[in-house]
Amino acid sequence: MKARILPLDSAEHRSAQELLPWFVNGTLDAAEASSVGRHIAGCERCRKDAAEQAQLRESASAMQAAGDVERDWAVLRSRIEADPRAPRQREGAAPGAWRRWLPFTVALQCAVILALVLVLVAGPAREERYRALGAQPPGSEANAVAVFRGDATSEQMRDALHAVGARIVGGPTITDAYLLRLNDPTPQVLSRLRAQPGVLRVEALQEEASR
Amino acid sequence: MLRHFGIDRKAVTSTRRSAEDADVALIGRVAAGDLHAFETLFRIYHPRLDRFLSLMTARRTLVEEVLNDTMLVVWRRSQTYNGHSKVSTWIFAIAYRTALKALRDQDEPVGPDAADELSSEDPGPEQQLMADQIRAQVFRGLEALSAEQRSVLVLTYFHDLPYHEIARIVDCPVDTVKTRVFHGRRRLRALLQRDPGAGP
Repeated sequence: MKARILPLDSAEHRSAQELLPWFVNGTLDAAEASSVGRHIAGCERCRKDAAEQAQLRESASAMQAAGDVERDWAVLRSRIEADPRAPRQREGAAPGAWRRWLPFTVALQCAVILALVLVLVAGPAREERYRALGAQPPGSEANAVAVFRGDATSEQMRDALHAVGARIVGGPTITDAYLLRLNDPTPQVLSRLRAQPGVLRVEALQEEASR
Repeated sequence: MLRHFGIDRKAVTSTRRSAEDADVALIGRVAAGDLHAFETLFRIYHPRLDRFLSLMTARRTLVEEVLNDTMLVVWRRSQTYNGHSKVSTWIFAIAYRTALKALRDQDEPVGPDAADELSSEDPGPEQQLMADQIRAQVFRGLEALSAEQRSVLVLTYFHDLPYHEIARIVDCPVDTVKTRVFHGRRRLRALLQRDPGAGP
């Protein structure tokens, strides 16, 4: 009399054991599913395993997400709005184009600021002042130049100026630099202005800084 | 046989395909800078990522942080999505890497708060209470596994992902995924049998 031995260690059994999790979650392709299904029909151990795994899968089905989608969206949206990398880069024709041009733009801005400083310091200021119809009254001369970030809001610009007692007396120039009049153009005040949100660069005009 | 386990393959395949098409359309709009499309994508993926990260990190504060970081990466890098994998696979891969990094940065053993949260849910009918208890035991067992082992089990049983997609998410060969799940579930079974709350 011959006993029928279930080949628990056969290649078919091992393969079925490996694939059971995906048999249970229904993602095997038709050939794999059919092969595992045939094996399960004759293998009690695999049937039991499959039932156990189905129970495990069931255990999470009622699990609700505990997070607050509205709050998380509000947080993420504020991060996106404060993130200069995300939406703006898509406004150009080619993705990432602004990054390639950024160093050149900043270098150009710096060169123009330097040129402005030289013109204002070395030029014949007093004579020139009387030639302009819109000449500033005494005490309105610029004593600093500032460049704001491209994504700076008007509120940030206003707050930055208020924080150091500055006002705009000229600009924006072609490179979006503004001429400022600071009540107290000391290096400390200029540093404070540089640290304000939205401020990219601040340079003192030499005449005032040397006071 | 699949129907025996509550799976209707045709229905699942059809639902998945339409969801994938919708995802691809959305990610295309996100890549063009459409914040409204991104909000839609965020709302679709929030519950799925929340469940995945809750089980993977077992820390509520970490879940929120990692989920947020993941979706910020999706927003910033949507232009790099190349269609070689499903959008869901791409997003889950970002979540997986972000979560692993967060866990390593924390350098702390995973705490029990996720299971506690689940077991402290308001008691409902008896059946619901039993289901909650079983779930809590399963989550306690999962927490005892390594993050790598836990994540493949979670993606298999709780997110119904095929093994080749899981391999892409966790960035390892298919055979490694099969082995991790095989050993992971054996270990989980042993842990559940030892769990004092598991017995009647």
